[in-house]
This record gives sequence, C-alpha cells and structure tokens, in this order.
Amino acid sequence: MSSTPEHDSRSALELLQATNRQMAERAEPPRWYHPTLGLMLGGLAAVQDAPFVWRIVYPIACCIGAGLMMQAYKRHTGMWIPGYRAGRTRAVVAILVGLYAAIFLLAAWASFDLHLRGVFLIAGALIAVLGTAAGYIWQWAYRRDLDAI
Amino acid sequence: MPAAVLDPTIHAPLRLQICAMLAAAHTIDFATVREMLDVSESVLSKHVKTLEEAGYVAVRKATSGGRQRTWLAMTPAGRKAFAAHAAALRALVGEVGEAAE
Repeated sequence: MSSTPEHDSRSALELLQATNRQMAERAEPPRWYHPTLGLMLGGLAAVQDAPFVWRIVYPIACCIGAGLMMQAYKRHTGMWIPGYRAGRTRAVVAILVGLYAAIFLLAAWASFDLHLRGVFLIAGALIAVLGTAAGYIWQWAYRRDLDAI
Repeated sequence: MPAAVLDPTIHAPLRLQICAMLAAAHTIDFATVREMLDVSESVLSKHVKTLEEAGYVAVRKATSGGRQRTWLAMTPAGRKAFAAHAAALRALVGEVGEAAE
C-alpha cells in the first residue's frame, strides 16, 4: 500500500469515471428489450382472464423467455448485470415489484369480489406500460450510479 | 486524519479499468473487456491473472452458442478492495483540493 502524488490520483479518478461512462453506454440493451420485458410482465397479469391452461403454460413460457432474453442481452453487451444490483437501480426494482403487486391484487379484488370482467386485461396493459417504463428508468438509474463514483 | 492508501494491485491503470468494469457488472466476457480496453489478449490475461492471484477476480469458462467464452467476475473481496481504493482516490483528490483552497 502506498500514497501517490496528486496528479496520479486525479488522473486515476478521471480514468475511473471515463471507464464508468463507457460501461454505461455498453450496458444499453437492444431496443426491443424493455418493451418485451414489459409485455412479458403484463402478460402474467392479463393471462389470469384466460382459460386455466394458459395460466399454467404462460408462466412457464415466461421463464423460458426470460432465459432467452438473458442470453440475448449477454450476446448484445458481452456482460450481465442483475436487475436487483445495489444502488438506485435496486430502488427502481423494489418500486416496480410493489406497484406490480398492488395492481395485481387490486385486479384480483375487482375480478373475484366485484365480479368485474376484463380487469386483469386492463391490469396487464397497465403493468406492460409500467414494466417498459421501469426498464428505461432502471437504465437511467444505472447511469446515475456509475456517474456517482 | 488517517492518510488515504491505495491498493497497488488495483492502481495500475489497466487493472483499475478492469476493476471498474467488473464492479459495474456481475460478469463480463473476456473478449468484451479486451475490446473496450483495446489491448492484446496476452496483456489482458497478464493483468487478469494478477487480479485473480490477489483473490479479486474469478475466471470461469463456459460454452455458449457452440463456442467457449471466458467470463470474468469480481469476488466479494475484490469489490471491497475496489470500493476502498475508489474511496481513497476521492479522499486524496478531495484533500488536495482542500489544501489548495
């Protein structure tokens, strides 16, 4: 361990910041990534209005789809970044999960207690938009996290 | 006030960049790191080996799409050391800034 002169530390810090900017750019997923993720999440709610078999098949298809998306992201960026990583990004995921649960439970209450039809479809559409937006917000939060170093 | 100390294993510019990349992701393909740093495979291998021997980086080989890829990840010890190193850099630059005022 050793101390270094001022210019050395400053240039090291600048190098660190430049690398982080490069990482933030490199981590951008393909254009279809966030909308697809939003649609997959929305589908999980919307499918509750579909026949029973779809309520079994769709989540399995979603798991396979999530695996394929992970592979596609790795191929596109050459890296993997977990959504629930520490920092501002974790707050974005926590808020998304909270809102997802709230919308889903509200739809379940309206469907089962109030016997309203099509509420899961509306909830699914809402979650799809929310999930897509959350993807872009996550990306922004990731850039902010890296800028903060 | 204790002096900020830098980790010599991390401080070399290329290793600092490798650590910054690995700290920002969970795993990165060796080829991606090489492309981003614009260095030869042998140079990168040498620096990765140094970080691996220090217990800061884990190297894993996996077959994907019919070809073998090498994935790099930072260990918990590496993350801790890198965070301390980045904090020391900020402290040193901050201290110099304060002294100059």
